[in-house]
Amino acid sequence: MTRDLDSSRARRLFRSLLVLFPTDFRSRYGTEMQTAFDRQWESMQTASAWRRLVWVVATLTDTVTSAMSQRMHARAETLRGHVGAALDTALHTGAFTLHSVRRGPGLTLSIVLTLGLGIGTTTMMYGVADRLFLRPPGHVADPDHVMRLYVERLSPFVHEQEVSGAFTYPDFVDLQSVKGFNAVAGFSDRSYTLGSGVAAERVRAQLASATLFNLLGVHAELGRFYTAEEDRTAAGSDVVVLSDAFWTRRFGRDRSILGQALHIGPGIYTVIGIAPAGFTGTTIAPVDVWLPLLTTRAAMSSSDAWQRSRSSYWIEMVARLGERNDPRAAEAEATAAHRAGREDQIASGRYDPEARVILGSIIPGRSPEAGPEMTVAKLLAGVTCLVMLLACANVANLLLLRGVERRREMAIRVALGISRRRLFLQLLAESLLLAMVAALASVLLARWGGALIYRTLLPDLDPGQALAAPHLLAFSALAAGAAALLSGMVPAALASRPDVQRDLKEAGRGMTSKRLRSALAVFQVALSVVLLAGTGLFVRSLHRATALDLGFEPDGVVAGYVETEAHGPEDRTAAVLIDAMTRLRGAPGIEAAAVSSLTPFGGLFWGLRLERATGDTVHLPNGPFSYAVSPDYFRLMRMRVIVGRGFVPSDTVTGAPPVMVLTEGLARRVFGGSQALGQCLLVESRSADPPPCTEVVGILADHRASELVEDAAQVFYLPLGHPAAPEVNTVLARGSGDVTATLEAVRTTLLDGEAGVRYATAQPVAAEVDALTRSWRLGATLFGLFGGLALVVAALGLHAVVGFEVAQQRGELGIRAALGAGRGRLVGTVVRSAVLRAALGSLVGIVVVAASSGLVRDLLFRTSSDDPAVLVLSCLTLIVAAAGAAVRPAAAAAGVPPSEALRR
Amino acid sequence: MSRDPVSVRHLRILLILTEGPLHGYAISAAIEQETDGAISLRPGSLYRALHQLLERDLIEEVPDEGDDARRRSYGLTRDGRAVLAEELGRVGSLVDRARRMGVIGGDGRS
Repeated sequence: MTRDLDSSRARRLFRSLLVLFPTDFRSRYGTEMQTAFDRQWESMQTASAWRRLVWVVATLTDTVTSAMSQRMHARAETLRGHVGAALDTALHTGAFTLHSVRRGPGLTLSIVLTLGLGIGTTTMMYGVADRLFLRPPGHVADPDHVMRLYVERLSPFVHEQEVSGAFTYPDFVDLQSVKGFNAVAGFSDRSYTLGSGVAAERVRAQLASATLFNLLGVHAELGRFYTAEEDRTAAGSDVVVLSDAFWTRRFGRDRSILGQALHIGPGIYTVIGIAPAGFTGTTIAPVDVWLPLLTTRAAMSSSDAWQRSRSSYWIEMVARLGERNDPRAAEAEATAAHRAGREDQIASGRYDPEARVILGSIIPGRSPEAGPEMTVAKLLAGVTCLVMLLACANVANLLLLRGVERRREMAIRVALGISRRRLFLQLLAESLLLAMVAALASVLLARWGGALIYRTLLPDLDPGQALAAPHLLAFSALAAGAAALLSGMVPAALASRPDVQRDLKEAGRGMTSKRLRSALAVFQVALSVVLLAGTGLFVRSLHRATALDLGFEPDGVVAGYVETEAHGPEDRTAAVLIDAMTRLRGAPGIEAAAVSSLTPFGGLFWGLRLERATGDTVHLPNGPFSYAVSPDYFRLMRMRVIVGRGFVPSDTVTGAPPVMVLTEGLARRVFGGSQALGQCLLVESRSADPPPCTEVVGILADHRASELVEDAAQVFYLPLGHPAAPEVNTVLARGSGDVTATLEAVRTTLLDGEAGVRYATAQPVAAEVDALTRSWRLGATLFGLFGGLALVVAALGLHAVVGFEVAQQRGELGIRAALGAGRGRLVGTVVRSAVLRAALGSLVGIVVVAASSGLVRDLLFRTSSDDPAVLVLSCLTLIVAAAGAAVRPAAAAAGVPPSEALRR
Repeated sequence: MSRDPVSVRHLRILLILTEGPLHGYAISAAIEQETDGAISLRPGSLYRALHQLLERDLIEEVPDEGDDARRRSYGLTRDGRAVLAEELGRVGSLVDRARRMGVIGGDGRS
């Protein structure tokens, strides 16, 4: 009795545990399992009670774990079924792929490489785009509510509408009171000297108001940030916070740096904290040190005039929106506050009454001030999508070819009863497998290429801020999935619907597939034309910009700058520079040396008012700009004096009759058609009142001084020693040899000269000009890179298609050869069909270029966005590439012996 | 043609079935008997293993005379026989090697 009771209880327990198994498993094996349990239980009845207990526990445990394993297995199975028998098929596919790699490695390799390129470039650009357009600068809490402030106005300097982020100190004070803001912080980026003498280095300093750190919600990694009490115009504290990167680079993360004093720019600052790694304030440009805004600004000047100046624009601002979180209302309030502060200026017509404060994103690429780099970056993002599309089109084509090759295999599978849906999913899974392999390879490309793009596009940025590997991997996997779907869908759909009867007999050619292949080849050519045309436009712009006659020759000229120990009235900068000029003249390898107030493209100075002798001021929308130069300047710069003379040493002697030189354009503006030489102009100056009559002694050919896009600058030159001459700021030298030798000569001459030079630096004048051609250089380089890739991909694609078709037509071609068709004629037939497709694709490409030309128009320099030469050249390149791609397969086809052809 | 390796538990089942189709319970009983009770397959493990072998087409259901659902028999398929031979060959060469290396004694036990 007890035994029966025991038995039924054990059985009930076992049966209840069977519920743990998946339903289908249970319904299939449940009864059998119960039977097995019963029989095993019976056989245990002779064993001891202890052994029976052990058996029961072991059996029940086994039941539970088996059920769990089976469930997991079942789930994996279901998943497999849904995702397309993916893993299973992938393994089968892997075997097949290996097989076909052995038979024809080209096709598989082409697929993986092409997809790798597509995924790689997209991933690479994603890394850059993410940094520029998607992510706010690091460590900013609640970044959606932090806005940069800009003012949209008629520029106070030149006659044009501008959006500027630079404000004066009184503007900064005015905007503090805006109620829509929780807080407003100001900052100003400077380049300061750290230390002095040979060991001195330049650091990127950000003067920032104490409110900045609280506003952004950042906390010091070590020590602390400064407080409002330390950031004051009077009696502030000279304290500095170092960036993590600078602390690492310069001080090897030495914690004892806290409390130490550093000589930075205008003062001695005590280190009080280290900012967290990756914190760069409100922009993404790296910062080395943060200094209190007002304390430092006050230390730079002997007077407090800057606190009242409404013409010294040096503060940039960020604000955190208040509770209402209404940017439009805050903008309106800020605009009202800004205009109210400028009431007097507006009333006297010196400031735009329509000036409007606007709030901009702190995400770099979305700033209203964003430079041409951002536009290029946006274009590039579009271009990488094109490359991706191109790669997908190519792969789709290759898959179609493979589909045709595998028709027999597919037909057999279908005949054996595999469902078409399953076949389709298997084929898609195969694409996915290949795409994943490609994605892995592409991550390497993306890391390497992304760093390259970063360096090219944004050389000032810390590449350490580039995207981390996990993000790239995730994106690349996503891109691979998209690529697999995009390229694999149609071929899989076509291949999984084989015409069993016909394909088993292997007679099918598949018209749909063939037409699709042609269309894809045409599409690829069209995309390539678009990319090549883009490259061509940028190359042409770059060429025209660099070939532009500047009116002077910057190549070989080096500009040297110094920072002397003392500032203010006893500033010795000019003396140091003039001394350096004298010594450079005798130095080996130096052809000429001069000093000047500014270098062309190194800045503009329009502080001097020019009056005709009749008393009326010369009004120009732009300028006039003024330079003070030593006599050798024009010769050194190779500027052409077309009438009269340049300066001579006697012009610079104190008390010499004041003279000036004008550019041709300015002379025309001032004197109209009449003779300028010998005329007199009044140059307003602080030191001479009334302004002396300055005689025009020479006219210079027009030259450019700030922009390449606009017309020549209107400039007048004064000799050193002229009462109104601006201060000398730079020494110039033209070397006869390598520019690096000249750079070194200038720098050492400056450092070895008179005592009291704290820091000296030199740079080629051509670098300033190059900076202006950067956007075209960028466009040309990066488009060129992608355009080249596109060309290669398209050529490979055409090669594969033509090669395949030729293989399919071997019989036909052989028969034609047997019938006496010449070899040349056969080759011609094949090549002609490839060229025809390329031509058709080119036409489509031209239409696309014409339709999208508005996108690049603003980025080009004196080049029409549908420049016919560029378009024709792009098309020709592709047609030639297409012909080239077809030649080899065509030659192979023509070489088919008629005997073989007839045997088939 | 090479196939995925088979676990030892599966191998034991395949080996038992070389003598002819058996019911689930009979398989577990035979294994237990053969190993002197050292190894006994509980119902859960047993049927999971059978399920997997069925899925891989290494065994198949053999119609029973009684046609009783509780007494379904399982027999080796041709694939099953091939895999078994291949697997035993593999294990055999492994045992040979172990013996040559002196890891185990002449009778195959360690």
